Amino acid sequence: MADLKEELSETMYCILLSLRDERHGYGIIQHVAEFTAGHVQLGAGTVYTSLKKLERSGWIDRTRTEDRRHYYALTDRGTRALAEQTQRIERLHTYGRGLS
Amino acid sequence: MTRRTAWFAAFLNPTPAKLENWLERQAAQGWEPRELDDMSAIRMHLHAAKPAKVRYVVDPQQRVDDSYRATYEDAGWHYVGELSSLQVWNRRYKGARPEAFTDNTSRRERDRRLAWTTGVLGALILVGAVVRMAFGIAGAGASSEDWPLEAGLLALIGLPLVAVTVVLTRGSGARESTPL
Repeated sequence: MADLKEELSETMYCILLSLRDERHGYGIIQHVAEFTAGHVQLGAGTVYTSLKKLERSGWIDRTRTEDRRHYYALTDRGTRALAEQTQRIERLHTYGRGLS
Repeated sequence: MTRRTAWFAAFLNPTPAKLENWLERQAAQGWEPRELDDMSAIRMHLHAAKPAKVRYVVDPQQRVDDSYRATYEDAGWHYVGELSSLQVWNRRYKGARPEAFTDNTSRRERDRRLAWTTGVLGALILVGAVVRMAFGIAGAGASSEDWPLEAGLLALIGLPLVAVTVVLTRGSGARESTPL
């Protein structure tokens, strides 16, 4: 999982944030657009690819399938990874503020 | 004329981005594929339609499930068909051109998925060309005199596939995303 942590992008981070609650692909697209006030617009191909990658890494898990849609949520491992990433971003933000 | 045929469109536009652009130019001129199959890479039927701004997305996916299609359809995409493991989607639009791949990482991975297929196929065909040449030079086999033509044809197919693989790999490498 070291690789995924090193390359965690804005997209991946937003998907992880969104999956603190159970959601399907399009639900994530809508939720991310909502909580970023439209700044992060995810495409269907990007979301599908990212979900597969996060699922393979064990950070998210499929919770159920309904009306052709897979629903996903963070695993314990994903929750820990999200917390670590949030701390890292907060540290970076603090460094930046210290220089401004 | 209500229908025309485009030959070798997928070979002449071998990367997802190039094929998307080509399909979009056809749509702007009033020509659209209604359905696609494996033969469409060689012979694609285009039907007359009202010229329109249509965004096409070419997504190399070997295996897709219902959830894959639902995610695209929920986001407003229309499924056109599968063309040799390339899933093709389109969407009419006004204003900004919609995107299905919205970050560099997923665009790079899309290219790599196709590069994997073209690379393996191209390498196997080139190995076949070399083996045919070796057997031909050694004079083995029933039709040993045909080896230059057969090996040449295999190389003619294999080399472009390898070239496409290099383009896809280099192109994606140049668009590395910056980690958060």
